Amino acid sequence: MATGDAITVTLIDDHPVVLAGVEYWYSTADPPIEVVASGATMKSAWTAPGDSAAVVVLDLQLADRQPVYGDLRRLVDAGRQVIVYTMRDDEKTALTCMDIGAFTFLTKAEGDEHLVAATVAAAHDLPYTPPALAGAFGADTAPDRPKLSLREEEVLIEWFQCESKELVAQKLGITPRTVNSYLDRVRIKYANVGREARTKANLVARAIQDGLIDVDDL
Amino acid sequence: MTETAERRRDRSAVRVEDRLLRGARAAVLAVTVAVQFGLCLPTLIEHSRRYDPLWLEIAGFVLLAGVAAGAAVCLARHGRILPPARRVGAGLVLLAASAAAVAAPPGNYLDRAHWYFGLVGWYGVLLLFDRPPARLALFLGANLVVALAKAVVSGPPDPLAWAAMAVSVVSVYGFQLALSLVIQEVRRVAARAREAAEEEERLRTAEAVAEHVHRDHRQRYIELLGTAVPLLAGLGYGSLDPSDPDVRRRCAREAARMRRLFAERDDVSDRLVHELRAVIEVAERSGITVQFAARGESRDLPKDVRRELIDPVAAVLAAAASSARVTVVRTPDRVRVSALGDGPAPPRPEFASQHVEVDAVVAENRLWVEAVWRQVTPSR
Repeated sequence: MATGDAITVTLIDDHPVVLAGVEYWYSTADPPIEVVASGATMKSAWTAPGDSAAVVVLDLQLADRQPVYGDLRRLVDAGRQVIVYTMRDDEKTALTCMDIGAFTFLTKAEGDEHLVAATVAAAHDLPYTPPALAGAFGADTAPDRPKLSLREEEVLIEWFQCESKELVAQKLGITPRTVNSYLDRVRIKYANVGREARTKANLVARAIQDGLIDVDDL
Repeated sequence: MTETAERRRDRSAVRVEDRLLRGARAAVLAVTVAVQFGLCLPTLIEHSRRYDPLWLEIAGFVLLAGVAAGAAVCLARHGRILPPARRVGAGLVLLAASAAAVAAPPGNYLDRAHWYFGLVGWYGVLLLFDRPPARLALFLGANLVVALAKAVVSGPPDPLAWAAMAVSVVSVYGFQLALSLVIQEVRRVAARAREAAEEEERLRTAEAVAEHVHRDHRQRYIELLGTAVPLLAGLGYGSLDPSDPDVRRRCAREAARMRRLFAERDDVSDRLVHELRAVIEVAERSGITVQFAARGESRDLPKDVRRELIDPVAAVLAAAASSARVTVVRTPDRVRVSALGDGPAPPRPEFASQHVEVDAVVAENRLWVEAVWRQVTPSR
């Protein structure tokens, strides 16, 4: 996973400003995160040293083209842990990325608060559901969506609405810890109905091992 | 383009074709009735003593008049003669012609007592209006067979009479066939007129939509450039200090505006979101950074419901000190609008609402209000 102490990351984004900004966030992170490769094309993720990074942060729209779902799929199929980091803020894009097997989906609007935490979670195979993704899960009406409890749906939507676990906890009369566990369980359920991918295998295995979710709940 | 507009366009384009063809059908019906009552009826009365039996001849006449009446009803109701009526009508006309021929005096149709001979052709034109001319030729052929059978059975004509009969057929039925060809041309012109009208309307709509979208885009970009460019230039040349809270707020505000601009591609037909954005824009003008996100399929809501969903958002934005988050979540059974704003311990607002539930939480110097509209399942 990580070389030495630091978590290694490959960054792919066609805007140099974004690359510079993200590298800055990572440089001040604790635990340390090291960007081993960055660039505007997929090449950075497939060639050394970027091909061995623990986490790939991928901009979904490179050079103003259509979303690079094909590239995302190839990375996922190669067993890479991919954080989709995009300008697009709609549930269809988010759910498509989840279907393909991305680790998580972050909009650039919520980047500064969540990217570092999501990267750490990705390196440790722990679920991470930022508000934009929670909103997409909560509004998902696809027939093959996993079965969620009313409480789980409520937590997803409240989290999407206020972006504060403390507020969600206060409103629903539960603890922030419980809010987290609801969010994680939903992510695991989605991983479980998704394609065979590293994310699915590791998230589900880890969740069962940690007692976050029962095999019967899946 | 909306479905309603599409339907309206179709309707108006079809109307062009309809008007043309309705007029032509009505004209043929008028000619047919005029020939029957203006020319044939006086002849029938004049030669009434020669028919044997007279009642059969009259029955043929009445049957034809009945077909004309049926055709008139059909035209008034549907604008055209429908295929089943067309088949029944043609059969009845042939039957009437046979009856009239049987009761007519011996001889051929050069005799004026054989009034039905030319009239039947007019019925053919009327009933087979929407069919190709070949069908009319077939129909006229059948009538000719009936007329010739009558002529041969009641005494074979001499060669001179045959020649006269041939000339008569060509002049009477030939005219009606030519008319049928003209009608076909009228139909083609009508179809072309409809296509042209359709095309024109489609182009006009597309142009209007494109122009609107273009204007909208340009307007938004101009607005953005007017505020973002001076800010960026100020930062670039060092005339603005990034550590100044005011400059920071301006930056945040521009960022929020840009974010919304990127998101505006979605949900253009969404009234709730559209109105929310208007409220958000007002808040942004007073320096509040508003983050907006929507989830779920857009749906139509009554005006009152929209107003009650948006009111709490406006209240939160008005009380916010610097930033707020506004969201819309639409699930099959609920529409939830939430607004979260910062500020020094705002009071919990009261809302008078009939259609939505409003729930407010005050915590950590933040005000969070959620308005929920529930889909009412109709009672049995």
